[in-house]
Amino acid sequence: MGGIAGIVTVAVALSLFLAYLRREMAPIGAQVALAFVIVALVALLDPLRQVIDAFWELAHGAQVRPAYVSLVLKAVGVAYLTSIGAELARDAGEEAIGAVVELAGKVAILLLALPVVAAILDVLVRLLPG
Amino acid sequence: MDVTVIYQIAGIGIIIAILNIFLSQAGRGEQAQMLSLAGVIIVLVWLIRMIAAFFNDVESVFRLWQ
Repeated sequence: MGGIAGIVTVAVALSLFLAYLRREMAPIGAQVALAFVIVALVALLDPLRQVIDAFWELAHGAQVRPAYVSLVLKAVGVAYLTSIGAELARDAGEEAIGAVVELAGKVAILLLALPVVAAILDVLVRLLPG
Repeated sequence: MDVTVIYQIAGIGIIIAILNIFLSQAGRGEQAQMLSLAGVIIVLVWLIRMIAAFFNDVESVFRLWQ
């Protein structure tokens, strides 16, 4: 909980300060905002690691095949990375670059999910009579 | 990575803004521009390292290479 309080405090202080810095020195204001985003996300990564470890434990207990769990986690990871990248690009005022980053994430996830789709189709074909 | 990085970058921003005001008051607009460009690039190099470290962390948390 201490980490969350720190993040919120720094966020409030920075947003007051950035009102000044963006007027005087706009590019470095954007960079300060970017630095805050990265530091906050790194601070959030440790709880996230615990959640994912718990998820692995649950999947292991339910005897889900590890390949599928790993696939889901990879898709979540790709979505996390690309949404952060897209938001950072949008924050710097580049709407088009953000859209391309999101598109790249969608393609990557589609590529990850392709073997599963193929497996489902395989099962369906085997289930169909004849 | 620590919160102090944010304050350091903000400090660089303040110093460059102040020097910028001095230089442009002294009639050296060209040098003021160069100074702000240099500041932006220095902070950018710093940030790119932070982003690379962060993306590596994300990869290890989500086990993207397994």
